Amino acid sequence: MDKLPEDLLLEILSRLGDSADVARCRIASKGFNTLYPRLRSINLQCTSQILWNHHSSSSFKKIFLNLISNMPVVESVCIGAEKELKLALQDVHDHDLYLFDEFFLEKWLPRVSVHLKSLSVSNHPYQRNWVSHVLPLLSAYCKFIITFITLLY
Amino acid sequence: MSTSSSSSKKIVLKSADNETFEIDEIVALESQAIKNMIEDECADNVIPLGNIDSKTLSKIIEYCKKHAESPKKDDNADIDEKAVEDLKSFDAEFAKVDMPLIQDILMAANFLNIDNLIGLMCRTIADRIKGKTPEEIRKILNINKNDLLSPEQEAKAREENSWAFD
Repeated sequence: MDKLPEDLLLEILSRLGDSADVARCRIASKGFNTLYPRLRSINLQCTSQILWNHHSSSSFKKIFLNLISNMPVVESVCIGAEKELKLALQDVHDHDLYLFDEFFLEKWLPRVSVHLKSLSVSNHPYQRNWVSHVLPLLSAYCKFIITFITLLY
Repeated sequence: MSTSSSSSKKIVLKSADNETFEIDEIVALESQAIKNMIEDECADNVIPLGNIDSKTLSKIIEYCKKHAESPKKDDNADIDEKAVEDLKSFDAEFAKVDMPLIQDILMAANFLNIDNLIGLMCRTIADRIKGKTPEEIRKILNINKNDLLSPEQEAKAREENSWAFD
């Protein structure tokens, strides 16, 4: 493994797809830990682990902001909640999963928007009326966005 | 089939352990690096590959033969699905080897600049470490001591990434 050059290690990391797998690779090796900021995509899905076992100091949004703040170039963002969680969440008003919250978006979208090509958000169904503030934000910052997917669950 | 035509141009590759492999030029062209050598007319005799052993090289040739024989996507927009499926199952079988060989193939494919094979090997490695713990990842990839985080770094990384554990 130590023989592999950096660009190949990065290629392996980028094929993992899921940010949780990347996180575990970071702990497994120095090489992966040094390289992960060069990844260009984030795919972070909220798990029951994140939602129930963590206090506000490591909320879903904080985990995401911490990840993205280390990555200079971000082309693809995919955030939401795992399938099993979606069913459970229909009865929970958890603002941590109101992903179209403008304060949250303002914290990361302007910085990565230049390179952002794909944004996929599966948002909490109880957050309503987001269109009126989210769409102006997107159109102000994201000139190059090609794919924008939003799902309600 | 390219393998049966005796009139086509041959290329000879020599492995690190001095084994020679005679292959059709069309097979060798799967490697962008060899293709460049042929175009620059630097491939008249034997091409020595001092960093690739014969075990790895024969796997690489097996891969290139199969891919050279298969219809290319850009040649024909609607190639039959059977050929695509056939190549997919070949790739899946091809990747069923142990991790040291996968890494050797990946290094060699990188040196020879064979894009599809680099992709296949990286995907295979990624698939094997998906859903695994850091300890399992270290074992699977045979990560050695020099490539571990220092205890302080590891403690910090574990804290930062505690959300990714059960």
